[in-house]
Amino acid sequence: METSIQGFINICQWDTAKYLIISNNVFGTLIYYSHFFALVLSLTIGIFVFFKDKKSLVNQLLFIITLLFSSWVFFDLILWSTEKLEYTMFFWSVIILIEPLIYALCVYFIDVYISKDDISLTKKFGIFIPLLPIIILLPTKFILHGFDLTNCNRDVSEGFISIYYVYIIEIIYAFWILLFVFKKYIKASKEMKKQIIFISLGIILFLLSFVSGNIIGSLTDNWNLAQIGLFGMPIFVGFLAYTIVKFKSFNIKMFAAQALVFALGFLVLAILFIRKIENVRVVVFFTLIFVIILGYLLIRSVKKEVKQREQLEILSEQLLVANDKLKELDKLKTEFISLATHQIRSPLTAIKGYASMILDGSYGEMTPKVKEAVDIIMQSSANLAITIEDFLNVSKIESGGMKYEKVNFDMGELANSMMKGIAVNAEKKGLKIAYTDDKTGPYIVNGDQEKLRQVVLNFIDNSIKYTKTGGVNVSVTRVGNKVHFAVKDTGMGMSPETKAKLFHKFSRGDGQRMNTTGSGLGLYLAKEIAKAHGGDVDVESEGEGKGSTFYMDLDATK
Amino acid sequence: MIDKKSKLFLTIFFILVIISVTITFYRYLIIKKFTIITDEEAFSQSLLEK
Repeated sequence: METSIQGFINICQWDTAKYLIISNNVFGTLIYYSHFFALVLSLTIGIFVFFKDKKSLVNQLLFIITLLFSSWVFFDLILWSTEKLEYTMFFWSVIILIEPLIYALCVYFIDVYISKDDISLTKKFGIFIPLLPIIILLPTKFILHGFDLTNCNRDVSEGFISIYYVYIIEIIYAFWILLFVFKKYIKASKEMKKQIIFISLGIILFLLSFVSGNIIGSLTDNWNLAQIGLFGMPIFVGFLAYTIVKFKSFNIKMFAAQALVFALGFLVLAILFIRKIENVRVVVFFTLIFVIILGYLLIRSVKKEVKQREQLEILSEQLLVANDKLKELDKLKTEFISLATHQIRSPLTAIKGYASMILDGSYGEMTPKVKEAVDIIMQSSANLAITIEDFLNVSKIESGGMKYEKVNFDMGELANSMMKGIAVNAEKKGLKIAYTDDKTGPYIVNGDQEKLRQVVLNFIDNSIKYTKTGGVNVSVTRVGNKVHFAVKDTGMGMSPETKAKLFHKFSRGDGQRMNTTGSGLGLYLAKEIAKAHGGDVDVESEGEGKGSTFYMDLDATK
Repeated sequence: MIDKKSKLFLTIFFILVIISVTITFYRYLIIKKFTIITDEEAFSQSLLEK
């Protein structure tokens, strides 16, 4: 019998395999190419994912799945190559065990990936216990009857477990995944739904191509068809790569650049083994070196960019936090100012009231010296009241609590009356003051008369304060459909730097140099009031010592 | 992270797999005890042809 078996083997003229996988029993280099491609691709992604985060259960499971698939591919290649009956029996058995194990692990993997947590012990029992018959009966005839020497195909005769049981549980596992994914998809957020679709589609397509190829091979003995299973892995890898890059799954950020470079390098390396013409091999070798160097540089620059982007994201988050804190502080400051100024108003009212009563003679006759002193008290408290009013108005504007009572009035009349009211201050300094217009009145505007009076008064008062000699001209003209109010003086003027700071809070231009009083809020308030009326304020000056013109433009009412 | 009971279950499962593969290895590769299915008629015919 042994002689006849050896005789049959001799008839088949099987080639002797070297290093388990290299022999002429494999009918073409394409088999090697497809097997190596799938093996290297799956191992690479498994190792890559695992070493990015070794402690993550999802990463560990993916690594085991890819490791098992790589083993399956390698053992399959042995089955293609070997001429030894005992090798065929052993590796065929192991492959029959590995396949459903991969399916079981895919069920485990997808549950952990989507649920973001380990599964219960009961579920683990449910997944792995069905594999026990295969494990226990692996060395028996229920898996493999024996070696099929009725032909030269180096086949085995599969047992009941291999032909039916294994494929039934694989189909059950595939449906388990489908059902689980469907249930999770319905309840998932929009972002998670996309991830679920991609990773599930990848796994299902991989498993389906695996099972269909192997079922066809087992039932029809056409093992060329069974190679379809090998293409399942690249499909899975494609979807996995997409989820990694798009959703930053498995904690991997640099995957695209590294995968691209690796794939390119691998393809060039593969050509080196397939092409037999020596000159082409030399060219391919140098191409490979070139790809490796460029690939290294590309990966390094992408790493740097990713790191910079991460730093920017962190800074941006810190900035947002700081911004929120600043807004909060600003709000608190506004509330404090409002509270404080209200508290100051009450005693100030008392000071003004009593000073006025003293001046009226309610407390008897005063000496000229006492009268002078009380006058100063009255003036100072009036100034303080204006300052407090300014602070309160600023606080109201910033908190959005400023109310405007708008009526139609003549801007020209307002400007003229304010000029006359304050003319005495100018005359005390020996300055000329006048009102002019372009005779196209009346200059009707719609606005809060009291607030706009403050702006007019502020402009005229400032001009008087900052002019030593010469005069101040108050004018109202019509420019297009705007009413243009201007106050021109022959005062100290300003530099462009001073001009830029002028309408901001607490900015007094060169006020400190001139030793003038003021809170630095008047022009800021003027700007805000003008803006609230749909207008604007600005200043023109040819330079220091050359005077200034402050102006406000408002929409004319027809 | 996996809890202790699950770790125990998976460890036992893994050990069972190793034992099974080891027995299979011993049976097929060491003692080479397996059935070889031949078709004697077809073999004889091919011998004659040779």
